[in-house]
Amino acid sequence: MRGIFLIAQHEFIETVKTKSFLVSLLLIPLMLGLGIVIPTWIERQTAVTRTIAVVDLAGGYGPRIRAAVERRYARRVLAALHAHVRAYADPAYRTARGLDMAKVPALLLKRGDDISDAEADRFLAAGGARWALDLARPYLRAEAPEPKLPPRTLRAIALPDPPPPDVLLADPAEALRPWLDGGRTVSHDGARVAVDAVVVIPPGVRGAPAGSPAALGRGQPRESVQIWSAGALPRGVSRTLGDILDRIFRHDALIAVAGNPDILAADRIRAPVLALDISAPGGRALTMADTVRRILPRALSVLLVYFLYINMFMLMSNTMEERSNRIVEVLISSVTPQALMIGKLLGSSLVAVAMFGFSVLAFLGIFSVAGDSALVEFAGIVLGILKGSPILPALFLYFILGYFLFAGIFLTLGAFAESSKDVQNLSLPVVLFMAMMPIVVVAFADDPDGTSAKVLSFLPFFGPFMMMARAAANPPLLEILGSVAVQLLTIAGLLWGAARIFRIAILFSGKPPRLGQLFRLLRSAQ
Amino acid sequence: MEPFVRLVDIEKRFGDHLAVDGLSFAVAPGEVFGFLGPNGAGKTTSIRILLDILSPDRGTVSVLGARSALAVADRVGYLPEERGLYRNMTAEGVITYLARLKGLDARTARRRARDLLERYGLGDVARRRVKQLSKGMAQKVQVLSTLAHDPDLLILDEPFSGLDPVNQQVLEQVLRDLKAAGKTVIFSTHVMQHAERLCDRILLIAKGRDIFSGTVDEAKARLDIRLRLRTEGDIAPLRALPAIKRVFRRRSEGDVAEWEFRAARSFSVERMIETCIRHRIPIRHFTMLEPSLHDVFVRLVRAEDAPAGREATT
Repeated sequence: MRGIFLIAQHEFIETVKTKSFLVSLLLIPLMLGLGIVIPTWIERQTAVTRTIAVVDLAGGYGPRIRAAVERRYARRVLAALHAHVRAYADPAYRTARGLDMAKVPALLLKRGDDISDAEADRFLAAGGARWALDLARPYLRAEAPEPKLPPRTLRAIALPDPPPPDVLLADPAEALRPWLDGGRTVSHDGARVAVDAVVVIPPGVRGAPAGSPAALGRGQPRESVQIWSAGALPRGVSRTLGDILDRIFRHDALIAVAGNPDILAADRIRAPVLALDISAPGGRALTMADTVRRILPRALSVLLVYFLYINMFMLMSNTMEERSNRIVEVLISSVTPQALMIGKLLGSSLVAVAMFGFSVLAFLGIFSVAGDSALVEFAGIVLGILKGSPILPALFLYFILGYFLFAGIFLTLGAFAESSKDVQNLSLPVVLFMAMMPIVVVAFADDPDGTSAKVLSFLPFFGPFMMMARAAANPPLLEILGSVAVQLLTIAGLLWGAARIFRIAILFSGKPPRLGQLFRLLRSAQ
Repeated sequence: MEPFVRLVDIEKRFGDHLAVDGLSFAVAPGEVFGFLGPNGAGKTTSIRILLDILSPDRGTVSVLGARSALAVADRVGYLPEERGLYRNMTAEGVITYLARLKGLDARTARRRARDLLERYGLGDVARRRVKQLSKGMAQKVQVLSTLAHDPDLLILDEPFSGLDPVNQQVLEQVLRDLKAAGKTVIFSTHVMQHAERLCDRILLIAKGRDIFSGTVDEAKARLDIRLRLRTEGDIAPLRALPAIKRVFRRRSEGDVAEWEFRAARSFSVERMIETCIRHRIPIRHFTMLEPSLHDVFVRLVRAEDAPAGREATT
């Protein structure tokens, strides 16, 4: 036992001291976190305000397009502010179901399309983001940071000094070329800006039924709204313009049918839906946390596989190093090969658990510190879920089971390897198997109590990952115990075989053996 | 006294290759025992069997009274032929770790590591990582790591290989120190000078078989006596002396020729000189050549390699 302890201790200390471990420790959560934070940051830092000029030959569309673009910006800012208030609201303004609707102003409780045109106009008229932030501040905690509000990405203007309508309609490309190739600019807020696109609305243009050639972008130019640009527009810009135009034409059609604009109020009607859960006495309303609780185990299950892969590679490389520098022969003159293997497995499993735990915490930490308000709120929800549910213990249980399921295999393969190339060649089939597992598990996890998910829970290797993915569905205790028992038996069998091969492998010279030779070695080792 | 090490009728095969073939030997406490043989003779395999790293197909092993060396691992030090250390550990750290595996507590192991490094001139590099040491230094560190737990039995597989002449001398001194301290040492080598200088007894194996076992003097006694005589006289009376096996001319300078005589161990040098005087054979120069262990090694190994019924000549 002393030898096992010393080898485990050595394996742990020497691994956590290596540069590769420290770099992995920093890189894994950093990459995970930055993968989410960086795109938002880049979007904010590199945001470009595109200028869309409108030539309204039909009359009445230009001001509405310009107003819609402004309202869209207002809605985005208010939505970000809503997320900020949700993340940093003073507890006095919270209830169990989120922000206290009785105390917090209605404008701060809405997001996206919940915000009416009138509310957006009020936001714009009152001073925009600065006004809204002043409105929100009394409801925030004292230490709440400044919100990260989205930048303006689109502005719409009337094209100054447009070409005469007959010239424009006869040859719009030539007529608009000076604006779109940068030869002519427009004045905006005292600066000259280039025009990114020109929207030409021909006279008499009408809305088209969904699916018709005109609605599918195959109508006649004079019967269609023409969006001119030099090359393709960024997808976000073209999609936004499309949405705005759809909405305007839909509203016109509704007014034409109803005979008055009051009909537009109907466009803001929503079904009064309540998502309810029977788990509490008398039922309770489902929240975003419930949705996260359902998805989180699946995400963690996938994460398990990737963490296992990183740790397996580290374990295999360490063993390869011990074998190639021959220290292994000194070790097995002091302890049995089995004790050496168990010591290494225990030590490396501690390394893996330390790395895994650190990464999970760091991931949430990065969310909390560097993320925007939505991510902070998400991190808070995840922490809340982990704190009060069996997901965290399950995560570590299944991680350890997964670790030992694969560790014996990788350790034995590492004992045959003389070089990094051997490590790659030998591990390839197992790595491919590991890569396949998340795909299978996620495919079945949508029906966590279905037959397929249950069968997979009892299969060796798949069990820990499937059970992790099912963790939120509270599988019966008997299934948990059964799955764990199957995996423990598999681990015992694998380690039994691994210990026998390991003894031979560490003194094996020459090319790593083929599969048939491996079985012969196993038979001869008995 | 009960031997510290006893191997009886050991056989080990790797597939079709018979690596060790009925090998038996014993090593007494306090002995320095040379385990000699050409490359591929089965020395390393035998040592691994002795240490219970490999299991024999047949035969029994006893080390320090135990059936497995692992049962008495704390009293055994082992230096394998192919050497290496943890490259990222310090010299002191690696000795301490290996000594702890051999049963020392952390504090004693660290103290012993420092003492040994100081004593053998590596005190200044004790805190350096192994990868920062020269090859010779790293090899010394590995030798010291086998001594740190003060073992009763040391097994060193080709300990001199890869060492420069200065470090070979240092290692010889280490082995003399161990002998003086009453330790039992088994070391394998194919450099006979080391064995000749250090060993109380040697075992010479070839093709996995014992081809000689005994003291260095006993080994040398296996070879003929070699004498060289430079003379211009007629050596016919010398050819007729009893126990002379073979005479041949090595070289000539004018009338003076140098002759070499091969004779059995029973040959009398006094009688040869007396014959020279009696037959007025002038003696310009006379030498008696003591056979080296190297000669014995080459002779015995060649004899083992020769086809049955034909002995190799030296």
